[in-house]
Amino acid sequence: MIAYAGKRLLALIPILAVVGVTVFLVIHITPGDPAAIMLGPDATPDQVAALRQTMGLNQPLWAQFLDWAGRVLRGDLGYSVFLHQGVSAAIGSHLGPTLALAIFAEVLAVAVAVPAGITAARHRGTAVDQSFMGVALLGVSVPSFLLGLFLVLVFAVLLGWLPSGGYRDPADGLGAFLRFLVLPAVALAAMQAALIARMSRSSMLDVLGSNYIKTAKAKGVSEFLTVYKHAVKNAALPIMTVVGQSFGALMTGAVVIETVFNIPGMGQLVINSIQRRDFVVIQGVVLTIALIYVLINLVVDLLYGVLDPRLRAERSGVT
Amino acid sequence: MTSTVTKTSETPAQLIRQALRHERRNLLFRRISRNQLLVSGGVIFAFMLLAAVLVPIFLGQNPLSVDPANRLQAPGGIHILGTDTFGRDLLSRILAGGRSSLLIGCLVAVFSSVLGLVLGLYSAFYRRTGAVLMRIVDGLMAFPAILLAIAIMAALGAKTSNVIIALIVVFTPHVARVVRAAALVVKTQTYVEALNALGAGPTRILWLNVVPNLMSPLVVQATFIFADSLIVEAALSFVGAGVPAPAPSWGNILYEGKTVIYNGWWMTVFPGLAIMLTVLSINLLGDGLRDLLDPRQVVAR
Amino acid sequence: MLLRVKELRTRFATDRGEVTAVDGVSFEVAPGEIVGLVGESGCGKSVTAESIMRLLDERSTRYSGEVLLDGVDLFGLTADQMRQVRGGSVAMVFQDPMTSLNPVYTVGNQLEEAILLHQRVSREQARALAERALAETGIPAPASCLRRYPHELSGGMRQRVMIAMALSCRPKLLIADEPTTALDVTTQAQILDLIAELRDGSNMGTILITHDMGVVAEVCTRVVVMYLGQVIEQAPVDEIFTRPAHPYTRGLLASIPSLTGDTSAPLHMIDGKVPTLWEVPKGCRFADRCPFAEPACRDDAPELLPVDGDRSVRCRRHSELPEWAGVSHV
Repeated sequence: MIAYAGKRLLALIPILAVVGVTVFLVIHITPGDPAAIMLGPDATPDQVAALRQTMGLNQPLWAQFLDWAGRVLRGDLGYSVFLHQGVSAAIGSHLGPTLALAIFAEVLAVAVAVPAGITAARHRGTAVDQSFMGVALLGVSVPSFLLGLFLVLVFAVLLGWLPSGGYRDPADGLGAFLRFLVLPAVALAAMQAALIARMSRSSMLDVLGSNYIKTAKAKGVSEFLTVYKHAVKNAALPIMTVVGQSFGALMTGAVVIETVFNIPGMGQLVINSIQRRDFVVIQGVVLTIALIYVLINLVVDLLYGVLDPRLRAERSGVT
Repeated sequence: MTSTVTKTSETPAQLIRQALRHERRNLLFRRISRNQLLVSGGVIFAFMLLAAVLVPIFLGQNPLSVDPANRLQAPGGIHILGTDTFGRDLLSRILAGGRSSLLIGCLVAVFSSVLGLVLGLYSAFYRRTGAVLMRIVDGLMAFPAILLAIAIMAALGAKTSNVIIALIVVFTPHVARVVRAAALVVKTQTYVEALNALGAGPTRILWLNVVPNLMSPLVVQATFIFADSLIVEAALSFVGAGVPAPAPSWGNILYEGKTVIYNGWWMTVFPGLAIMLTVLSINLLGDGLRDLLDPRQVVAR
Repeated sequence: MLLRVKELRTRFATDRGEVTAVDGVSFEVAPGEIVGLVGESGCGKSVTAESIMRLLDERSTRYSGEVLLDGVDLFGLTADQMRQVRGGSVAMVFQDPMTSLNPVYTVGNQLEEAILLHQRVSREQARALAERALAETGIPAPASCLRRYPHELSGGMRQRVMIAMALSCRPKLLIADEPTTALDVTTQAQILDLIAELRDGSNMGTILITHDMGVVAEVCTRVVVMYLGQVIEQAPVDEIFTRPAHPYTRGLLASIPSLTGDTSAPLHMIDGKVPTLWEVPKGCRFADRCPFAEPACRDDAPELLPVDGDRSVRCRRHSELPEWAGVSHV
C-alpha cells in the first residue's frame, strides 16, 4: 500500500509544479504593466511604482517565482488591495458556501444517477434504457448555468415556490439553508448526474458481459444477485472514479452558478475580481480550486488501490 | 455487383476496382443513413447554421442598433422574439451571437486539434521530450476548463480574439493526450515494425500510416471540443469575462437577461434554447460519428 | 437416458436478420458416459451447450426443440425453475479459467455461494463442503485456498476450482466447454485425468466440448461431430478413430500430425473454409470442401441416418467411401 501511495504522490510533483507555474504566470502574461492595470487609469506613476515595489515586480522573473512559491507553501497567498484583506482570509470566508453547494449537488447526483445507470444496464435496449439515456444526453447538453436560469424562471418567477437567489447560513436554520440551495444544487448536479449515469451504465454493461457473470448465471444465481452482488462490486471502481472527478467539476461549475444565484462563494469572489483586475485574488482562487481538484483525484486513486484486491496483491507480492 | 455498361478499353482489374469503390460508397451511405444519431444531429446542426447565416439577410434588423423607446418588448410584431434592455431586436442579436459563437467554436476546435495532433504525435515518438510535454499537459489538465479560461481572460483582457486563444490553451491538452495514446497504440502495431524493416522513412511512416489511423478519434474529439467550447464561451460571456458588450454572444444576452429575469423572460429563454439545441445537435453528431467510425460493429445478442 | 436433446434449434436476432446457429441438433447422453462434442470454432458446440442450460439472452434468442433431462423438458420450465436446475442438476465449466471467476470475491465465497444455492445447509457446513469439493479436485491445502482470491491462483488451479464449483452439488450432468484449451500441456493432462477419475467415481454424465481430437481419444466414450450448426456424425469413440464415416471427420483426423508414418509428407488440410452462418449452402453443408462430393450432394441436404448399431452419419455417400487407412491418410 505504501509503495502505491508513494508512487502516486511522486507523480503529483510535476503536476503541482506546472499548476504553480501556470498560476504564477497569469499576472505576467498581461499585456502591459500589471500594477498599472490593477490600480486603474487614474493612478499616479508614484502609486504604480510603489505597488510594483510591494509586489516585487521589479525582480527577475525566476526570483519572483521562487518568492511566490515560498509564500504559497507557507499559506500566504498575498494581499488584495481591493478587499483590504489577505487573499487566504478572503478565500477562507468564501469557501463555505461553495463547498456546501458542491456537496449537496454531489449527493443529489450520485443518489439519482448510479441507480439509474445500473437499471438502464440491466434493461439494456428496452424503453427504460433508451429513455434514461435520452434524458442523460439532454443533461449533458444543457450547461449548468443555463439550467439554473431556466429553473429560476420556472420555480421562482413563474411558480414562486423557491427563492431566485441568495444564501442562508446553515447555522441560521437548516430549512432555509436547503431552500436557498435546492435550485442551484439541482442545476449543478444535472450534468454530472448525466455523466455518472452514463458511466454507471457502460461500466455495468462491460462487467455484465464478463465470463464470471456467465459463471454466476450457470451456477443458478438469481438475476438480482448477479447484478447487485457480482456485477456491482466490479463495476464500482470506474463509477467511483467518475464520482470523484465529478466533485471537482461541481466545484468549478459552482463558480458560474454562484453568479446566477447570488451565492457569496468562491465563484463570486473570482468573478468580481475579474472586473476589478484583482490579479492576486484570481491567482489565489484558481490555485486553491486547482489544488482541491488534484487532491480529489489523488484520494480517488488511493481508494482504488485499497479497494481493488488485484492491486493489493501486487503489493503483498503474492501471485 | 454487376456493371451494366462495359467499356471495352477497361481491364477486368479496373472494372473490379470500380465495382468495389461503388460498393464501398453504397455501404458507407447505408451506414450513415441508418445511423439515426448522426442524421438527426446533422440535420439540427445544419438548420442552426443556415439560420444563423441566412435569416439575418431576410430580417434586415441590425443587432447593434439601440432603440430605448422600445426596450424590453415582449415577443411579437416586427420583433419576433422581442427586444432586450436596450431595445435591440433579440432575434438578430441571437443570430449574430450564434454566428460569433459558432465561429469561435469552430476555430477553437480546428486549432486545438491541429496543435494537439502535433504535440501528441511528437510526444509519442520522441520519448524524453514527450515525457516532459506530457507532464505539462497533465498539469494543464489539472485545471478545470472554466477556471483556466477565466484566469487567462483576466490576464489578457476581454476581447473576442483572447477568448479564442484562451479556449485553445484549455482544449489542446485534451487532444494531445488522446492523440498520444492512439499514436502509441499504432506505433506498436506489427505493420509499423514491418514498414520500418522494409526501410520506409520515419516521415513516410508517420504521415501515410500513423496519422490516418488517428483521424477517427481526432475527429470525434474535435466535435466534442466544438460543443464544449460553445458552452465555456457562453459561460465566460455570462460572467463578463468573454465576448465584450455590445457585440452579441449568447452568453452576453443571458447576462443582460438575468438582471431583468422577472420582466423579460424572453431574454433568457431564447438564447438558452439556442445554446441547448446547438450543443445537443453537436453531441448527437459526435456520438453518431463515433459509432460510425468505430470499426467494432457490435451484433445484437 | 440422462439427457435427450431433440431437434434443438437456436436462433439469434442480429442486425442482419435472424441467424440459426444450431440447426436441428439431436444426441443423447447416458449416465456415466463422457460424450465428446467436437468441431471447428463456430460450428455451434458452445451455443448448443449454452442452449441446454438456457444461458443465452432470451430477449434475442429463440429456442425450439426439446431438451429432456431425466424426462423433463428444460425448455418448458419457468425461469425460476431453470435457475434451480442450473448448478444443481446441470453444471457447466467454461473455457477460460482466467476470467471465469469473479475477481473481487474469494474462492471460498464463490464456492459456498454455489453450495448454498442448491443445498439446505448452514454456512459452516457449506464451508466444509466447499473444502471437500476442492480436495476432490486434487487441490493441495484446500482450506487456505478458500481464502484466496482468483488472481492468486494459477490457471490450472482456477480450472480445478471451477470444476469443484460445478461438482459441489453433485449434478447429474456436467458440461465442460473446452476446459483445457487455455491451459498448458502438462496441466491439460492433469485436468483430463481428473475428469476421467470423476467419471469412474459416479454416475454423472458429461458433455466434453473440444476441437482437439487428442482430448477426445483420452477420455470420451462417445463422440458427436458438428459442422456448421448440425450434427454430421455420431459414434462410439473407438469407431470414430478406426472407421470414420463422414468425410469431414476423416479430414479432421487426417490433419492430426503423426509421429509414425511418413513425416516428410505435407500436413493434410481440409480445403476451403467454413461458410458463415449467413451463407449456409443449400444441399450438404460440407459439399464445397468435400473431396468426395457429387453434384447430387449440392442439391439435396442429407439427413442424419443411423448406421449399423450405435452410429449415425449425415452423408449420402458414406458407404461408398474408400477404406479408412488410419490417421494421416484421408
